Amino acid sequence: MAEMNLVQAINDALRTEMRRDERRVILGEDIARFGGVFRATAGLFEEFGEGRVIDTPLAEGGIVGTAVGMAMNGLRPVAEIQFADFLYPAFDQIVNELSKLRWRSGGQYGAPVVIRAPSGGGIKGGLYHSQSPEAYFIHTPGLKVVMPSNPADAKGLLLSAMRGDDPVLFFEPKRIYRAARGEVPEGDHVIPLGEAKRVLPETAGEAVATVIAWGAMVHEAVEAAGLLADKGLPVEVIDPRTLWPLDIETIVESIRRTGRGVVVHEAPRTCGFGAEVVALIQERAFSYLAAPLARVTGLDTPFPYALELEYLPLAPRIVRAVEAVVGYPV
Amino acid sequence: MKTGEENVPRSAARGRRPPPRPEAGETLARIFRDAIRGEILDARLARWAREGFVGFHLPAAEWGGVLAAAACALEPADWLFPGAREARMALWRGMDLASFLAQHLGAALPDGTFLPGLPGSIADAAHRVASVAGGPGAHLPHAVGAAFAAARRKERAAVLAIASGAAADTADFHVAANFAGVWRAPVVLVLRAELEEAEALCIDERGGEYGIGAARASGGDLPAVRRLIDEALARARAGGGPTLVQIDRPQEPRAALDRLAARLGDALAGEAAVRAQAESWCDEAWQAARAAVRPGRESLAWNVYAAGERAVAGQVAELAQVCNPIPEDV
Repeated sequence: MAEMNLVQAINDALRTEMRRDERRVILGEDIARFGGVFRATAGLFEEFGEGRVIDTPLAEGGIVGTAVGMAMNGLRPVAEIQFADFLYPAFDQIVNELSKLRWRSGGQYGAPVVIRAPSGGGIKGGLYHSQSPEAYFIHTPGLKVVMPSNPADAKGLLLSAMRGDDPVLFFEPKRIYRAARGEVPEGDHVIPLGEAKRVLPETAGEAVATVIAWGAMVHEAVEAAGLLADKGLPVEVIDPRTLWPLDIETIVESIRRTGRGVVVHEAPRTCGFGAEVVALIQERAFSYLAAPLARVTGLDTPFPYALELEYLPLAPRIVRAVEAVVGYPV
Repeated sequence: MKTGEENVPRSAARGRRPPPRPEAGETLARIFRDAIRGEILDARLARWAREGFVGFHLPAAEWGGVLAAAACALEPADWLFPGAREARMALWRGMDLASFLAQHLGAALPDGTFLPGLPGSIADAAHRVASVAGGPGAHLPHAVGAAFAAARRKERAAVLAIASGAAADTADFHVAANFAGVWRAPVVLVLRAELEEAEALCIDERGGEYGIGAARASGGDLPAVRRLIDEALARARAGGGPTLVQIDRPQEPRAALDRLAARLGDALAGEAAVRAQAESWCDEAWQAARAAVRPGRESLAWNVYAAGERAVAGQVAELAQVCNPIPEDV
């Protein structure tokens, strides 16, 4: 085990997989000699060379489009998009091409492409460097969507994403790229996609509510849980880790015990993935609910540079939401 | 700008031009035969669309000779990335017509492959024919990526992508040409220029901007079309990089075939015999396609993901409870 931050764990996963699989290539803007805008690919060019660590022109549609062709012809590309906000120029290639290739070709061609993209706010990045677009891609059949919250999960999930045969949008919460540190297993450390993790408590207890959060918001949920515990309101915190396919069973199992749920995400509220999580819970656990499910989210506004901490669903808002569902009149 | 073989691509001037291969009568006869087959198939598909058997049909009658000539330049190890109107080129690569028509009817191919996208959205991995993409130029970046993969493995293979001239207006074309130029990918990007856009495409200038070779031929001279593409592919296979090719729509497609027939002379058994064979070819394939299996509702979940996905399977299973009728025939 080695202690790493999240960006180092990403780098470790890429290096581990590139050593294991000659077909693995990575491509993106400034990812080779420069090592990536967040240094996630630092040192890979020096070890694997320009045939496998590829600087591209500044064109996200080209990065994804050529990655699709590489995958069709036997390579296993990982494309880095500098910021998740820059996925939009590649939207057609992701949503109409990458995601549908296996289906429309009757399984003759797969597109095992992993797209890595730093997402979320909290770094003073402003409206074009802070967005959380996961819902667009969860809404697209054929894609898998992942967002880790800590270094060990980041490595394990990225290795799993790279070794699978489906296209994966891998969102990296850049606010905690360096703030999140932890022990990371060396070498092969694979966490299957589609398995949620109960972050708090380690064993199921007498919690009064379940908080479901992903990415950087897991840390806010944990902070909120500490504040709530001090008030005598213990909660369970669940990190789905893989947003699609979603491990709804783990979430529902918790909700059936606590009877109350709060979903937290940075993306705007309306049609955010939280709405889907709420729908799935009520379909499966309606009779167990003691209060309406709540959402604590970003606002239905563009992401602000000014007042970004007001926009983000930080711990105080989560505490307030849990108190509201706990206090709901039965 | 000059047209035809006198227009030497820039990359050819770099001294990597292979010696021209003689056009055997057999090659020209094949172009003639496939052009006639394409013409008859076009008429049949238009009729079947009018009669309701096929959802819709994108005709390419005036381009039949050009598509046949372009396909004729490909070697077995090469790849073909066609657009929707060029999908028939898969037949000239070896795809079975009964499979091609079964796909148009929404049926499974004889080998069980099911291509449920839209009529004519074929793929044929066995013959290295890519899946037909969505937008007019969406497949062009894929072709560049596939070419990059072939070059990385040091394969002696090239990629031919063909699209309408309208595709040149798209971002996909721009990124494809840009990436091809930067990577010196072994790809030939062919644009079919309609009469009104032939001069506006300015293929030579575009090639210059992207730093890749450019060439242009008249679709009225089918041997020249084949020769031009053959040379571009040979250059790509030999490591000479990409070429941008413009083929102008033949002003009189029939005259182009007449010139070819005249050149073939006795080597051609006669157009009447070619047409009769083509009609039989269509008849037999149509009967086989009509008998092809139409997969049931469970097929809606096929190939969305590589290994299935619970939510998709569950949604399809819900259909069984309402029993929407599946027509036995169209």
